[in-house]
Amino acid sequence: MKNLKKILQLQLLIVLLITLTGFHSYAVVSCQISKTNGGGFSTTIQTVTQNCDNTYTIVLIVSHNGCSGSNCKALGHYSVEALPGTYSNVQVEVLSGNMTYTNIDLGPNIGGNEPFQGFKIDGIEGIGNGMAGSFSITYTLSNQLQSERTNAKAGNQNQIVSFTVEDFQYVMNCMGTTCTPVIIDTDGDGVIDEDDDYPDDPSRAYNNYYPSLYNWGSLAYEDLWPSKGDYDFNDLVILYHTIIVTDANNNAVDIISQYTIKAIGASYHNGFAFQLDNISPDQIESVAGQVGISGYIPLNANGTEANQPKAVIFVFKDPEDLIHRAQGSFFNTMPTNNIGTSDTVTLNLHFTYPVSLSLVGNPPFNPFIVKNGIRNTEIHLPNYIPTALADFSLFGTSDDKSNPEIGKYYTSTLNLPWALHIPEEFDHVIEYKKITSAYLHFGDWAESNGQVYPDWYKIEPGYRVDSLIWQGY
Amino acid sequence: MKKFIILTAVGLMLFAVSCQKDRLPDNPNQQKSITELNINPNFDWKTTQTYKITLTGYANSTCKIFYPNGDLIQKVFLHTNEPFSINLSLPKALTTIQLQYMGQKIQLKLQDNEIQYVFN
Repeated sequence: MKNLKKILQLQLLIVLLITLTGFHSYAVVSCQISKTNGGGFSTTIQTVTQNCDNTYTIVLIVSHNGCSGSNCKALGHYSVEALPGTYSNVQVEVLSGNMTYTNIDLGPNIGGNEPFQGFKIDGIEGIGNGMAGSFSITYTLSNQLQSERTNAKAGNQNQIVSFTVEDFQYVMNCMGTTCTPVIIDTDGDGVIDEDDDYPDDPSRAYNNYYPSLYNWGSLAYEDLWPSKGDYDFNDLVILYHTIIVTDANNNAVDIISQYTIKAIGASYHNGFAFQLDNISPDQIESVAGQVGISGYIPLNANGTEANQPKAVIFVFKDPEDLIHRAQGSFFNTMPTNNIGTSDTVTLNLHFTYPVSLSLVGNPPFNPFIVKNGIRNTEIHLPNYIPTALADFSLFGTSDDKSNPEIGKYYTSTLNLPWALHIPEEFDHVIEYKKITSAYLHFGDWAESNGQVYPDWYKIEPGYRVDSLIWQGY
Repeated sequence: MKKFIILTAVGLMLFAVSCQKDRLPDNPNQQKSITELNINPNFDWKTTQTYKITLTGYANSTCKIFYPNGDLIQKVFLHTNEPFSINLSLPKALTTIQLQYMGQKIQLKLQDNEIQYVFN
């Protein structure tokens, strides 16, 4: 019985030792920052300790991997950049190999060929050019951390790496060697509060913006498909701004998308939706914010369209539900009419589980309009796939030259599209005017297969005729 | 004198006409309707291009991706020495993006569809 107790105590001690040792090595490995100088040399910030007296103790590890030859010359000296008067207590310790040195030059001027001021370990031998080894440099820095370069000078070769203030702070915070403990990751998701758009929510970390934080994108449609239109691309012009919320593993958690109507240069009441081509409806927990959809199309309980193998999300049934006309039957395409306004739809989509960004795709995803409320008549961007509920018998009819067998969709017999996507706010053409006359390089872009003037839609000198372009909104 | 004036006037008129003639001709595509354009059947009509960008960091930290004007696009979390790939759809006319990571600011050239960058 006594022996059994001793054995159990011993086992407990072993487990404790393994746990402590294992945890310690994990913590150290994950907190260090290593950078490659070159020539087989690398420099690691081993520790950064805030000493509570306005100083920091920094330990760097310099190591050589043992490579030899003209690209792996022996180390002559090793220098560390630091502002004059801010460093002291420089010590060197050989950790492995046969490295020796003659002296520590405390600078601050450490030689004409040295690209910075600081201190250097001089007269080094026995490391590099086939001689593996490592040594540590410990020094004290006063006032505050600073960006520092280090140079592993071998032959006449400067081999420099740069460490930022953030690098030193990272090691210090990671190891918990700050003077006063600070909470930097409130929700514990691994993303520090400063970078975390949701610092109190461990399931969310980042807002990602499309086209960007401050820019909106545009979708411009011709709505007579499969017949050709007048190609002013103003039958329906929609602006969008999308945020994909990701977690600390870079997986999508939510999609928050805003839409507004910029122009309606047609009489059809065209609905608007998008498909997530690589997402099934059951991967979505909920969709909220749709306008006029209830009773229009069958919906799943989560707000996606029913009877679809891929997730299809309707944004609005009819743009008339959003706009506030000021004058006339056209909405913001007649320059002589007053300017109308549009409400903004905010769509909130929440995934059932976090989903890889590569599966979610990039906004505006696969957007389409539903021609005049006829559900099975979809108009997509060129070569974007229709949904499963589209009427495939319409492909190849009238002016359409789609060929589903080869994945070719929504281009005409003249190879023209029915929709354009512009990654910024597009100033559409006014009624009865040609896009080629308004945007002077649109034709060049199209005929060159997109090789010239890929920015044809921008406001640049010689790019557009403002009198043919909507200026009001 | 009269002859001189007439000759001078004619000369000036000819000069003016010749000047007009020297002006750049209007771009023929500006006069065409879109239906008159000669479009390659394989043209995709895309104003954006998708880049596969693979980033490798040296510490567990956030990398921010910006347009050259500083407008934020994306944030990704990089784990130490683990490459992370993201497909970004960017304007075709864009030639660079900016990366911010651990206090570093990097300008990344959009030269290929697949771009790798290792922070050091």
